[in-house]
Amino acid sequence: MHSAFDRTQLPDAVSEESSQRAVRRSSSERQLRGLSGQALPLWRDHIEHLQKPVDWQLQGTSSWINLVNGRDGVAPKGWKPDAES
Amino acid sequence: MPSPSRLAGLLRDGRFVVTAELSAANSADPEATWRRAEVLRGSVDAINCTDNTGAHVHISSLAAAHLLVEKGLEPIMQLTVRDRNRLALQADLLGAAALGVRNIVLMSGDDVTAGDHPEARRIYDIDSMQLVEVAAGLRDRGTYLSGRKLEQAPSFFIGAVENPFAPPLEFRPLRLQKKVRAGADFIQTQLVFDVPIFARFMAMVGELGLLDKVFIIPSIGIPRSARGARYMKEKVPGLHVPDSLVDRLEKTAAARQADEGVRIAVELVSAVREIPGVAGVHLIGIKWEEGVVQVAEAAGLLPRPTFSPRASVGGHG
Repeated sequence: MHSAFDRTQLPDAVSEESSQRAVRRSSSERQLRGLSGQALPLWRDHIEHLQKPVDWQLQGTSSWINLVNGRDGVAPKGWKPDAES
Repeated sequence: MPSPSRLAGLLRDGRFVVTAELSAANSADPEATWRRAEVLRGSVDAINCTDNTGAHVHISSLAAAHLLVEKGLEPIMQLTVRDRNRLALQADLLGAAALGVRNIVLMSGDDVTAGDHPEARRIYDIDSMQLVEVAAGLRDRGTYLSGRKLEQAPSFFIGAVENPFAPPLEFRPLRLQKKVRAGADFIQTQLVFDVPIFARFMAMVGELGLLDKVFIIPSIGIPRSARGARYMKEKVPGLHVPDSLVDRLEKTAAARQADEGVRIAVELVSAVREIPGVAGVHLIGIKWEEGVVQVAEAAGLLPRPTFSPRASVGGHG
């Protein structure tokens, strides 16, 4: 079986059954992801990125055209998540 | 401007704070809110006013928070992105500040299907992380999301929520980090019944270097009955209630289950207090403010500080 199908190998492999969850959580071998960058997923940057609010004016328009002309990259003027406070 | 957040001052002074959740009234009579809140006076440092909790309609958090301000109690106004778009959210935040509300907790809110209006439309115009950033923008830059300037910026102590028990567990600290970067000053967590998992969460938060950037306040539930505990275990999403806790209550005679629930909550308070980085506790006795007082007393959390510590808002310290 491919490891991706073995739920016990996945970081979100927490069973719906709480009794099983408890067993898995007590496993000492399981590596803690998120610690010191170890075993962090490739998409960590995406996890950390704070998405700008959705522009609902684009609803129903072509995402490809918006990507090409940069319209989908426009954020509200007051949106400055990295600004110094 | 009215007085700033006393809760922020206590936390920055290194005091172990106690907050509690007020059962939201289903009444147009302000006395209904005041009656419940008065039970908590002197036993907690600040009181959460919930925003249609569990997706059930109650008095608005803004109105309840204002009623508490009127009586000299310090509210923490909860605000969800489920029911309002960005215009309404910013309007309510500014209005809350004008009415003397200094502490806010920003969250997604339970899905409408969990409540008594499952047919309602969800808004989610922006998400809870974006709302934290928007609130920080109002406070720190004095601008709306549109970029338009405010005449007077609000002075908020900004809170957010986090669930250490929702899988994938290893990503929860990263999510918390994101909220801190967006502007959260304090975090109230999901109910903690499983202390080892919470301790591991706190260790990961510490490894990310967040413990000197944000105050973390775990929520402690006060189970009033075995039935209630089982309901939480089986029906409430995102909550981890160990079997041992439910068993303990079920083996207790019905007449003594409330007392046993208080004992359990006291044990949990003592346990989380030992975990490095825990800045206080948020006590939740569902429709049972008297239980909060009993736990605060039995856990040695009384008396609460009566002084007004150095008062400032914005940022961790």
